[in-house]
Amino acid sequence: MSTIDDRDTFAEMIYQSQTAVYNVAYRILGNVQDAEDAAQETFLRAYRFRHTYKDGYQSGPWLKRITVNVCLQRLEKAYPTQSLDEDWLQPPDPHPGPQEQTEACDLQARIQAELLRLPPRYRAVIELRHYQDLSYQEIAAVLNRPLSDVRSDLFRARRMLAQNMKDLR
Amino acid sequence: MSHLTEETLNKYLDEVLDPSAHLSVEAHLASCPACQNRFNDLQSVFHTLSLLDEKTLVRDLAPGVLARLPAPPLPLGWRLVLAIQAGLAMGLLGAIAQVALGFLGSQIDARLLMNAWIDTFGRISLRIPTLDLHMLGLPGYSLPISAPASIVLLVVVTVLWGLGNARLLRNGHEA
Repeated sequence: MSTIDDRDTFAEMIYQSQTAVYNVAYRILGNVQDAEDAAQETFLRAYRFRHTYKDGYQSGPWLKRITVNVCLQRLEKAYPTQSLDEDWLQPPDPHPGPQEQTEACDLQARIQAELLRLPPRYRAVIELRHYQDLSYQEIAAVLNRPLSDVRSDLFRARRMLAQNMKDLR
Repeated sequence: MSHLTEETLNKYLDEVLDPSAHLSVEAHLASCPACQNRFNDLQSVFHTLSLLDEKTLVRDLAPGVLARLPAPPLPLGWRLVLAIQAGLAMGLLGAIAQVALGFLGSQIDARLLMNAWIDTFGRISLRIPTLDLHMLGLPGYSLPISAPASIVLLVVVTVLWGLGNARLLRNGHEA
């Protein structure tokens, strides 16, 4: 029996990790509403699969890994034919408002925009490697994919970012 | 001199090369401007990604999540109580229905009908236990039901249903 069976313990877990989970979702999905929805879905899924949580371990990494998979599934649903396409490109907003125009000048927004230009599975490996500091093997386990594919995706993602971020340097 | 592969550069930056390979790459980078440029490009990606700040979550997600959690299963004790309550209530409802239907249908006195039903029930279903009771010297099974008693039974049934449903509703609300 997991300690998460206790709803108070689970509520405390949500309070402690919701910002981190939200940030993972935001980096992959790129907008506030989707990221909040994905974060909520992450916690619901975590509760449903609470038997996979090992007591005594930090819940943060466990939740973040669930978040990545939740986000990938949402993207695959939203863009079923493009999700695995290397040429995947999120269409830019044709009529950005004043706020978006201001943010476009911001470095933070540019980095986020470059992440969103990556295909979803590339975003996932970047997230897991650069922001969650997982090894190649751990990333392969989280995404349930061959190690060679994970390495290949990670290196290609970095190559794409290097090309697209040249003007940021 | 062959240049470093993309894989080697990535592994070097990820610090997953063994020590001898790591030193070999360092030596190569020191002497190869082309690979040094590629290395700088890749290293800048690492640096740029590290500049991305954490976003502030403006809305507390906990209430929404907790409201959508499935109801926890009732403890075994409560499930037993509810099962007994349901069985008891069904039996009492059946008895009352007999009385009510008999009274409405044939204008026969409810008390007589109820006595007859209980006598029959006792004879058919509790024949052997009744014999055993007699062997033990206990009095025979007899339960006269009057109209006020029927009302009392109805109240008991209502209370039992109320208690059971209140527990179930509370359980659902907690979810």
